[in-house]
Amino acid sequence: MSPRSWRIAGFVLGLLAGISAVGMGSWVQGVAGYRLGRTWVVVGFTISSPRLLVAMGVLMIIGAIILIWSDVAGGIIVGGAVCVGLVWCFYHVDHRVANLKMWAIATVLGFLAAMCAGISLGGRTEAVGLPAVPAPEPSPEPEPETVQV
Amino acid sequence: MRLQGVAMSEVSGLMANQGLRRVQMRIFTAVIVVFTLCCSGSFGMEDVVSSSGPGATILMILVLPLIWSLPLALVSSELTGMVPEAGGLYRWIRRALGEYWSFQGGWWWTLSLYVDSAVYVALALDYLQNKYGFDKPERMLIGACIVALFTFINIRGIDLTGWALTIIEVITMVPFVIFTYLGIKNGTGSAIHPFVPQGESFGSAMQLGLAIMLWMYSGWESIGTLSGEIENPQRVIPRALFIGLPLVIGTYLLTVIAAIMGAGAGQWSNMWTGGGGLDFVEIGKILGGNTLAYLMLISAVFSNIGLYAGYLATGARPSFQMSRDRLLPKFFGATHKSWGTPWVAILIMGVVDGVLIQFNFSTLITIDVFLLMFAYVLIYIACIVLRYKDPHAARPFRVPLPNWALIAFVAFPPVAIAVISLFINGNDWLIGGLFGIMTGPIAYLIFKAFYKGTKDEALEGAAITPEGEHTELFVQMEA
Repeated sequence: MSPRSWRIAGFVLGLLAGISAVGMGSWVQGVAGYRLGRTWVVVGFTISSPRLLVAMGVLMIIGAIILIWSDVAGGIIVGGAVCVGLVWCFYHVDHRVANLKMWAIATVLGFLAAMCAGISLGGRTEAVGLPAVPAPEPSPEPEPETVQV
Repeated sequence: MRLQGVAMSEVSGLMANQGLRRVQMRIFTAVIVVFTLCCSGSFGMEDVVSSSGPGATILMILVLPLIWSLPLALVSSELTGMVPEAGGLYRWIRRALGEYWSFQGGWWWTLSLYVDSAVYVALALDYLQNKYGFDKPERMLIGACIVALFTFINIRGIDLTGWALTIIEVITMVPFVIFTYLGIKNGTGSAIHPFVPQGESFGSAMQLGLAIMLWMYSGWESIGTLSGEIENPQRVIPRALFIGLPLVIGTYLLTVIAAIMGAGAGQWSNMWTGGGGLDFVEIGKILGGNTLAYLMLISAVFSNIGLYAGYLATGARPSFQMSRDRLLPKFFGATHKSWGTPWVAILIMGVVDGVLIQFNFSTLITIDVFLLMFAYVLIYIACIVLRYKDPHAARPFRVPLPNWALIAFVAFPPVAIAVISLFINGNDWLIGGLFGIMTGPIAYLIFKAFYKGTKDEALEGAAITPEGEHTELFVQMEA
């Protein structure tokens, strides 16, 4: 696959990760409410588990779109959003598994999206090789086919 | 011009190990290194006995190495012979799966060892603190001294590290020999009865025990990271692994039998570490009074220090090689002019450990299981892929199995165990581990974007560029 194909795959996976996070967040808001552990309050905003899922889902969707143009920025945004979700799950000791179930699909898809971004980057980046030295003039003698070291 | 008849592993080794001083390591020293990395005493086995029962513990000691340690030791031997380069598993995976997955493997493994090695110093300090009751400033000072001493020894070279490990293992194992003799001679407990704790099924009894045992039987790939600094690693490392494996099994088996018997009839359920239970030190007191208890305490401290020294040596090499491959900052790849060691990579690891031990880093430890198990899975995949991708490459040691049998033997059981282990350590380890894994793809994006990486041709020892020009390696070979 070409780097571009990997980027597109990353975009699709990142988009699906974001949609799944937003979907899960909306579903949890209706079904589970706030039974997924304490909220975080950051500069006046109350962040609950469903809200974080939706927020990170939106971030993943933005990251996936950016990934089409920049695999580095897009991959970091999608992967970073997954990391925030995992920190949230870890932090809520009594609801770790319940939270992780909500994040599971987004985590797997987000990991795969970041992986695709990385492989795309690896494919398109001009890696540094050994500096070449000028080849010697061809000798009239036939060159041996085997080089002994 | 084509390169025929050239052992590509040797050619690529020219580049990969540049700047490193190779030392003549005797098989004996290499065995000590393997023993230190994979065993270094049996401290920790107490918890397996009380959670899984005496019979199940003995069964695991005998069976687990066959399906968990042996495959890893065999695969490591084959890959070390084929790719005898500094960085070990990082370069094995690179040869098979390319830059991306090798970075992931190297990153996960290194991250795991950064945390792991600090744990051993913390454990050694815990033993000393429990005995002598010193305060935090003294603990910090002693910890800093231990880290500084072994960082210097490692920077000085693996020959000195080998000597240090030999002395440490003698101090660790002599008390164990006395302990084992007295335990088997005077002990009254049954080494195999009951098989599992009363009222527990075999499966539930195995859970915690298996999680601990996997750690006790890990580390066989580690010595491969030192390949760039050992003369003739293709010969030395596989031999050390094959001598080391039965030695480790024997050590666990005899010391655990002695401990169960020495604890007394029915006392196996009171065996645990961390205070209040019968650990090796307390059982030593029962068997040989205060003298043996004191010797076992010294043994416990040195066992952990040995593990630290060993993992400091091996843990620094992949980051050194990743830097050489332009995937980490350049300073990681610096070698010491006189001593020929990757001194900056070792120093950074030492500094990180020195900082970590000053804090409670129990949260960080949770990333360990996933990181190491994923790296192991990549090693197995690399071995199988190389069998198909590069079937005629020189392999001084080859696992004596056809490809399909290799897949069956080294892939299914170890990978299944690795996957099981991800879920039996508790949800904190599961989530912490997933977080650790996620750092790999993000780190690759950052470092690859910054440092660009290195062409595979530069690693494989190519003599001619695609444009037909001779590389520096060709000039080196001609010279």
